[in-house]
Amino acid sequence: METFVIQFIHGLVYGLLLFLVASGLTLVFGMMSVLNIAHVSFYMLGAYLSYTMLKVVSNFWLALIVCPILVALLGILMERLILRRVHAAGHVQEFVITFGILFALNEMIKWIWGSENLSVPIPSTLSGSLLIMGNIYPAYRLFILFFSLLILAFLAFILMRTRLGITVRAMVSDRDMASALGTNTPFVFMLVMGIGSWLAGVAGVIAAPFLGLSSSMGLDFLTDCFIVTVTGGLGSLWGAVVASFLIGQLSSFGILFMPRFAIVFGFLLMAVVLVIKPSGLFGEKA
Amino acid sequence: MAELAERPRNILELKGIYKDFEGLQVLLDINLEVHERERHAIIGPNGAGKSTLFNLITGKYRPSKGRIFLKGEAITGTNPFKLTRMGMARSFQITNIFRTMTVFENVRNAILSKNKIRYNMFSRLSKMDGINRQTEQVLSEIGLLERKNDVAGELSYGQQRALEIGLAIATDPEIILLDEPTAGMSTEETREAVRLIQRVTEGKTLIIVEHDMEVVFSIADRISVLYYGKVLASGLPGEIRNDQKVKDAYLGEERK
Amino acid sequence: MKNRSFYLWVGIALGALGILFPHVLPKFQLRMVTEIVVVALLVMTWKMMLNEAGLFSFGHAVYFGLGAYASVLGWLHIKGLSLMSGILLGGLVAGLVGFILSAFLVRMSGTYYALLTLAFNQLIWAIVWKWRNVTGGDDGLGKFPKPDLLGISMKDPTNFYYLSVVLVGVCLFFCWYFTKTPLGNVTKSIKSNEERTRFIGLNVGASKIIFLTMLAFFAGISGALYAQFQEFIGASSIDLVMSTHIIFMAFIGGIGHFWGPLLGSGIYVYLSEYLSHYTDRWELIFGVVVVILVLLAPQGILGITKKRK
Repeated sequence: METFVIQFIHGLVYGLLLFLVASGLTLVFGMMSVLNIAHVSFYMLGAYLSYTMLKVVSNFWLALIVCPILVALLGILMERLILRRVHAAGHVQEFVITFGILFALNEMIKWIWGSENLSVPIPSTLSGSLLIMGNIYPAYRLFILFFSLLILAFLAFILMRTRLGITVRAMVSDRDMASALGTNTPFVFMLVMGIGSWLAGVAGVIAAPFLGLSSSMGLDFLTDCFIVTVTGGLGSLWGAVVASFLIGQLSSFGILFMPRFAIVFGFLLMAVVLVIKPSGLFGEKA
Repeated sequence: MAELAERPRNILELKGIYKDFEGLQVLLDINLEVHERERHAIIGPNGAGKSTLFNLITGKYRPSKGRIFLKGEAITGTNPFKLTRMGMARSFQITNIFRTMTVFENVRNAILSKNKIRYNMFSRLSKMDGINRQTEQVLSEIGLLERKNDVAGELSYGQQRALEIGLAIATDPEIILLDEPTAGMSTEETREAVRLIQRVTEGKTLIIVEHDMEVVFSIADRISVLYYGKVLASGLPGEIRNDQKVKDAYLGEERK
Repeated sequence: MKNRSFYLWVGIALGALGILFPHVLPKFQLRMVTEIVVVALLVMTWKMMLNEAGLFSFGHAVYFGLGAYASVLGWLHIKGLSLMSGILLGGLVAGLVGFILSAFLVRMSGTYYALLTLAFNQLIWAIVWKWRNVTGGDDGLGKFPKPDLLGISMKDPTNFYYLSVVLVGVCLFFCWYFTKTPLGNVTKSIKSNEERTRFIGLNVGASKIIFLTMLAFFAGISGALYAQFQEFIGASSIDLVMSTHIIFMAFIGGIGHFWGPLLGSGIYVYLSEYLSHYTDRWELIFGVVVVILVLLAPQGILGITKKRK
């Protein structure tokens, strides 16, 4: 029983991290119909930036505040300079360019920080462990859990209750209509892109002490992120919620049962969902 | 005795058809019979559900409730390509041709399908004389033989509409569904189109959706009137013309 | 096409060069040309997937790698497996996987398709990488037999070169010929108007699957040939980086031209050989160049996309 609970929490943690990143991806697609493959690089960048920052200031909380903002700025820059132009050119260009950027950012990170694995220390205030059902559980992971949930609650609040949030939801639903009603489309795009990248950056910063940094962390995360996005349905936040939860759990329990090939479970889920509903759980664009 | 023998067979039957889209009821309790080899027109104001009905019959959508029968066989929800192979063909209200291909290639696509040549990756297309001949035959029927090497997207509107019809008849279907074939045409183009339609649907069943009443009354053997998702009336042109319900609801507004 | 005779002449010129190469080039260069030719087939299959089927695949290396592994495992474990049978085995395995994947993927829109090919690439790569007993994992497989073909030793680079040129030539010819056949025509009409293709009675899904399976088959042949060329096969032939390189090669060569993949493959092989002497980060430069190229000249070199009317 305890194993179950522990694994469940593991799964929640990973699932939340996945959602933080996938939500940005799916939102941007829903709003702008642009699939920003490079989005996962923001996650990676957030982690690596925090590494450097921590070497300089040694304050986790400061890194948590600053690094995601830097990442968000990069995201906004990318949206204004590249994504807007790319969408007009067509799907093929969109794929090649965003993929090229992912590739380039990946290589740049390898260039600047090297290809060896790096580690980021767990902040002292959060180190240590708690006893859960007779098992020792690292406090830091619980921090990830609660902090992510906090951010998500905040996000949900903005989306559901504020005027801005409603606008964003309207635009994801029907962009042309929203723009005909007078919403400042370019501004909202920028905002959504910024927030999406910010979320990915946050995920990177808080995941770093937990998962460690490696030159393949972007690509590893990319696969699961894509599975989440596709299973949930491109453009659907709810889909991303459900899918990341499921994938998180499958990943966690999968490792328990079939450690070498746990990756297959996520794929199986995705395959099953897509056979039944080719556009994903809550997706519309098939 | 002769009357009994001549009782027409229903080539198409719709029984209790409903269709809603996300809560919006577009079609309600549609019951329709189309006789073999008749020319059946479906008329009704915009938004009455005519195109939806077409899309249901031709397999693009599934009805929410109800069944459809082709030659007595249930075809509800069957894939469009299977329906075409069963002898049904349609044209589209908004021209839906192969714009990047030539006129000849457009028709040839359908001819190849008709001849069941689908997965052949060994024969050379240019050497298939039978195919080429059949293609040219259809082209001359629709009057586009001289334009056969032109890219379809560059044709005039009227010519594209003719090609649109050509694609529908090229598979040699038993039942042809034309969705507003004369939409956007001038009077002269319309007359030509009517002549074309009468020619190519000779001996076949035709279901035609139309707004132009002259076209309807000059072609149709029977007419069904669709009004806000329901069949208001169905019968001979004379009956429809004199039907009070129809007059009130529709003919008065739509007379061209 | 007014360019038809142009292409013919290029083909003839290449053919003449092809025959002359072994006699004028030093061994090292000859090997490079062999590599270029083998990879060109792979890139051609990717390009055809994009051009004819309108599908952008991020995971094409899967077929290349599986073809390679299947053939190598065949040569290693099946006593007396001939050269051509091994290559054919590679093609068939890749084709089978292609069939299974495309049966699943065919109903997806372009964006989903692209994402899923990437995900599947990662999945299959991970399986190959972890299944050390069979695939050698990171270390890969080497020391497999290089059977003679019709009594001619393939260990001689010249002979192997001729084999590659002929085999790839045949495959490329078939790819070209395909566009002149009815199935090639169906593929073209699907690209022009998928919905209408359905409504004239053609099974779009089945046609796509057959086409994609064929492409996977040829990609597998390329992989098997490559394995013999390298006399080694590792997980790097089936990873995402390889898929990326395929995409880059296709675009650099120009996806609008029949000989584009050969050009792209050539540029890539030469650059990777020479640039890597100067910098470790040549791949980054290469990638950036391609991205800029696509940004600045989307219509010029890349005329054939869905946007072209």
